[in-house]
Amino acid sequence: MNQQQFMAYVEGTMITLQLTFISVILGFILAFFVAVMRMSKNKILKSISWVYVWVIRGTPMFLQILIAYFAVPIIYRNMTGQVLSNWSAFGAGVGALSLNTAAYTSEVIRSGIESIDKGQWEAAQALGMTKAQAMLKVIAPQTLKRLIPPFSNELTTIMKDTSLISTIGITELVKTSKGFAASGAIRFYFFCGAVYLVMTTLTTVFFDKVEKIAGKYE
Amino acid sequence: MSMINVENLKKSFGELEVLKSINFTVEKGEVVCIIGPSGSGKSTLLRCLNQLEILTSGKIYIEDKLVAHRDEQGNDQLNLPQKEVINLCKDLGMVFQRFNLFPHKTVLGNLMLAPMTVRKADEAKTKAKALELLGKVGLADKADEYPSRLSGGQQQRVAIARALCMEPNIMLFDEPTSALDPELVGEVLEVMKDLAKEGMTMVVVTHEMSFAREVATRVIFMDGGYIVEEGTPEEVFDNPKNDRTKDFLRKVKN
Ligand SMILES: Nc1ncnc2c1ncn2[C@@H]1O[C@H](COP(=O)(O)OP(=O)(O)O)[C@@H](O)[C@H]1O
Ligand SMILES: [Mg+2]
Repeated sequence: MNQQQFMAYVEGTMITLQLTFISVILGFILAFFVAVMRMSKNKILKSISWVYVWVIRGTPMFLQILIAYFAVPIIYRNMTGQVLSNWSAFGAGVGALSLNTAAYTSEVIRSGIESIDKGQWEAAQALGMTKAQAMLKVIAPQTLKRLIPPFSNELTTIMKDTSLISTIGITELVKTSKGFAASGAIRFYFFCGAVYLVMTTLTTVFFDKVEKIAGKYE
Repeated sequence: MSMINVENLKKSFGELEVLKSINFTVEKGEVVCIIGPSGSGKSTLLRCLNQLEILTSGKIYIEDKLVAHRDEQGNDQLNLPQKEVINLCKDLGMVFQRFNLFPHKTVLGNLMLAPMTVRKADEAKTKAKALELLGKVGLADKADEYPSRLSGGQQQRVAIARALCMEPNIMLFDEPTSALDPELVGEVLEVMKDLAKEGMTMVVVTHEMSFAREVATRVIFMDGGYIVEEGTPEEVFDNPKNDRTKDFLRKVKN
């Protein structure tokens, strides 16, 4: 591997990491709201989040990326009569990944919150806390700890799934490797795999440590 | 002023009518023990008092303030916002059968959380108060432990101290010793006896008949959603008038 190729890999890795972290952060924030909607007593909010999760989890992510990049600008134009300027592949990709993560993660958050013993809510309420205070001080901290393994899992999944965004023209790790390997230098595929393995392993190890620290009271 | 006054309280879960017209009053400094077979609605009654359950109809007064009122059709006559309900019930402390300590907090953290969150109390003062209460329940040396490291009896004493840290005027206990190994029951009952001696108003759902006999100023026997009989421990335990009370007492003796 020459220096130019090395720099291309550094670049590709950075793109993959950017796609991953931006999508995961946006996705987790959105997931929280979707989970809250899903658990609310309001039937409309509940249905919206249910449909959202149903659609996203029931269709391929690849298709969602294609729709985000190719279909959204056309739908926008048909609806508003204006051209959607600045609709980048990066933005569409991040959008699709975030929406996807949010759907999966919202279910994880919901089941996490529901797995906390009802007695915890009652104790908090009996001590005079509002629902919001109980959520913030009692339920969320306990839920968060239980969410570390599935969050870590989702993060590595998204890290790998960012490769699908290469299909709409983003030169991330896989696309970089494909370019170099095109001339028969298949070692670049294996090198690419090694970079992913390093990233996913580091992520997993890191969150295992976080979980151990967070779990010191049990 | 009575501490608790309940008028014609009814509570149903769907079709199941659990409380069928409950009337009772608790005066300041009284220790009222509620006994009765399992499923008779004892827990539901306590939980209605501090609004963990919404009553179906009736009135509840805490320290002469109307905190819940629904008419026979179940319509809320007060429509209070959550904050106001919490404020009206702030003088009630509760201890649960299964402790319900916060596992992510140390013992000290368990005591300090509610005062700091709800009252925005001063941290140093709250800590001093919490340590004093832990001393009182005999657990001063456990302040920095997590609940999972404690025995059931110790956890329940922490739960009592946690409720006391909110400075309630009335303490509700729902079978506080039922989840404990027999050898750990005594230490919890001791703490409760001390509390009673200090003049705390207490409503205790319990199966510990000797505790009720010794500490209660009044015993209430519940069955099938009704208060069937009430009186001093001597009246209820030694001269029960109702057949169902007699039957129940005979069963618990064996
Ligand atoms: N949340 C609930 N939903 C439905 N039924 C309930 C609920 N809580 C209690 N019950 C029912 O109400 C009855 C009385 O329960 P409870 O007050 O716990 O009795 P006790 O404490 O005297 O054993 C029982 O039949 C119980 O199954
Ligand atoms: Mg009960």
